[in-house]
This record gives sequence, structure tokens and C-alpha cells, in this order.
Amino acid sequence: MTEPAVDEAVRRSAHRARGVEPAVLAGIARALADDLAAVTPVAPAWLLTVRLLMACAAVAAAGAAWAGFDGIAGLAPSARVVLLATLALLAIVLARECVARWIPGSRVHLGSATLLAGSCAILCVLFALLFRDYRAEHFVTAGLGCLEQGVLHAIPAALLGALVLRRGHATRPATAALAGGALAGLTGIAFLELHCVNFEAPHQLIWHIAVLPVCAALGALIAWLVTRPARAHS
Amino acid sequence: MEQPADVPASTEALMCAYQSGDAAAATALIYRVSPSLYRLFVADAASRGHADDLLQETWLRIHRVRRSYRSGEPVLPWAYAIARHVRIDHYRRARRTTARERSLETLELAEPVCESQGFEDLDALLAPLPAAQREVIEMLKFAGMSLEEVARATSCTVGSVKQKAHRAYRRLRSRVLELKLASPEEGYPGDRAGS
Repeated sequence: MTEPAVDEAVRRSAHRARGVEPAVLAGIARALADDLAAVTPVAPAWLLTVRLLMACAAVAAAGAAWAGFDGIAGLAPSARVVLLATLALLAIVLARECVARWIPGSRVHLGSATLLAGSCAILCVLFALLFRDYRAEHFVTAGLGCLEQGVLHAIPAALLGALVLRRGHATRPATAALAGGALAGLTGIAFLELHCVNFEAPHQLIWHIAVLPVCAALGALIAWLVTRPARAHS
Repeated sequence: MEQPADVPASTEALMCAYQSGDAAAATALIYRVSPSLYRLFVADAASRGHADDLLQETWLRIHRVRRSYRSGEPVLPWAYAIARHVRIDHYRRARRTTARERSLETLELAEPVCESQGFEDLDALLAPLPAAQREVIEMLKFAGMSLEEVARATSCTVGSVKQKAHRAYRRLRSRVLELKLASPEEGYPGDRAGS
């Protein structure tokens, strides 16, 4: 059995399906004609991506300006460059994927699981390379504080992101919000890296990175809860 | 509303004109894109009985979110992405209805029989495919979309679509053989009507 034979079988089977009735199409055309105002198309993907990145950078910088740039000041210049460059690259990837999920029919390059796991893995490698202090003093208390700060800074980033993408339409809201939550979580991590002076590897690897999956999960959960009434009445 | 004469403009140009409020372009777009969207609904047993309603619902949703189409992008994946969402909503609604109204099960089963006549071969052929693979085959073979367009419509990567199509073909090969062996005098499924 060759592939053309399968194609032929599928084609012949599909050929039997009835077509759409002209009366149905005429009815749809009439219904749409009643409310046919001009609309402004959504901005290009690159512009939305830039706006998202600027919003996230502004939130992280504003948070650190208020709390202090102690964390980044305590790092060696080369470590600062590597850290900020990696965070910026990750933010670009996450912002692009986030925009793609908010515009129907856009090209998605990475699946949600790959996006989330890949981001966490890259951050793990980065922090393992940059932070070599393996003590874990006040591991839980200090960690929970950082997790809280990271999530709190992710909230304004997520709200600004929603404002930037308000004219989009997510066909899969939970998946789109997961990507948005991951980007907001990365903003929280960026704030922590600028501010936090705890350079212990376990602290960075567990509590700082945890901000990203926690925010992604919160984003997906909120989208699921928000769209639940609409699903129930659809 | 009369069926529009053959409009030479591309689907993308029609979509842009529709966004600008051009009624003739909107009508032409409806007549051009609807057959493909309709096939998406009739190709699946779960949505076939409600294909007309789902098509209308899809267009209402397209109309509501028409600003989210960007000039220069292919229209079909954009419209399919929205139609898919409408179909998923329909599945959920149907599942809820079935779960809550058990006493009507027999009536609901009886209704679509007359409408589904003529689809037996298609169902028999696609029966062994999981929903995701079936959807990819529907878009690739019924709507004539490219891998790239299917990936855009389903919010998947091209690699994922290729993998689903490959697995679907593997199952379809054995399914076609199976059906051919079961009725050798009739040839491939659909031969009776197609030839």
C-alpha cells in the first residue's frame, strides 16, 4: 500500500461529503452585513513583542530602582553581562511565543511544555555556572520571601502584557496565559537578579527559578477560571 | 444577499477589505472560505449534525475578532484556528448535555441519522485515528492546507504536524488494506460513489 493509494482513498471518501447550502451562506452574509464597521487590525507581531519586552523591562527596572540594585552590583562584570544577556534572550523568545498564542493562525515555534521546561533548564544552567556558593542558610524563609517578591513583580508585568495584547484573540486561553505567565515570571526573576544579594546556589536554583513555573501555572489557572463561565454558557 | 460573481482578488485582499467594512468583500470571503470550514465540521461525526450552526457560529466569532487578522498573513489558518475553537466549544457543550440529559440519549442519536447518510465510508476510513491525527488529515487532505498552514491553525510546530501526519498515514495504510480485504469486489472505500 503506497501513500498515493491512501490519498486516493481519503479523497474519494471525502468526495461524498455534502457541501454547504447556498442559503446558509446567504444568511451568514446578511447577518454580518448588518454590523459591518471598519476595524483597525492588530499591530504587527514584532511591534507587540517589542511592547511586551519594554513593559517587562520597565517593571523589573522600576522594582529594582525602588528596592535597590544590590544583587547585580554584587556580581562580577562578566557575570552581569552573561546574566542580563541570557535573561534578555529568554525574554525575547517568551514574548514572541506569547504573541503567537494571542493571534490566531500565528506560527508557534515551541510547544508550551518545551517552552516552560526549556526556560527553566536554561536558567538552571546559567545559575549553576554563575553561583558557586553551595551553602543553604535560611533556605526556606529566605526562599519564600524571594518567591513572594518575584510573583508580586510578575503581577504588574502580566497586567501590562494583557494591556498590550488586549486586541488579540487567544483561541486557547489557558495555553496563551501560560506563556504570558512564564514571561511575567521571567520579569519577576529579572527583578530578583537585580535586587537579591543571596548568591547561594541552592537559593538561586530553587527559589528564583520557581517564580517562572509558579507564574505560568497561575496564568493558566486564572485563564481557565475566567473562561469557565463562558464555556458553561456557550 | 446574492452569491457574488467570481471575484479575482486574493483571499488575503478580501480579508483586508472586510476589515475596512467592505460588504461585497465580506460576502465574497464568506463564499470562498466557508466550503473549507464546512468540511472541517462535516468530516467529524461529532460535529456533522450541527455543521450549519457551527459554520454560522464560526463566522459570528470571526466577525467579532476580525481585527486580530494581520495583513499579509494567510487567511485560512487564521479562520481554521477560530473554527477549531468553535468546534471544541461544541464538543464541551455536547458532552455536558449528554451527561445531564441521559433520558434524551435515544432521541439525540436518532436525529442525525438522515443527515449522516453518505458519510459511512469516510467514518470507516478515519475511525482508527485519534482526534489530533484525524484533524491533521482533514486539514491536509480535505482543505488542501500545507503543513505550515496546519501548524498555524492548530498552534503546533511544523514538526509536530509532520509527526501526526506520519502516524495517521501509517494507520490509514493498514486501515485501507483492511477495508479492501473486507470487501475486495468494491475496491477502495468510497469507490461506489466516487467513481
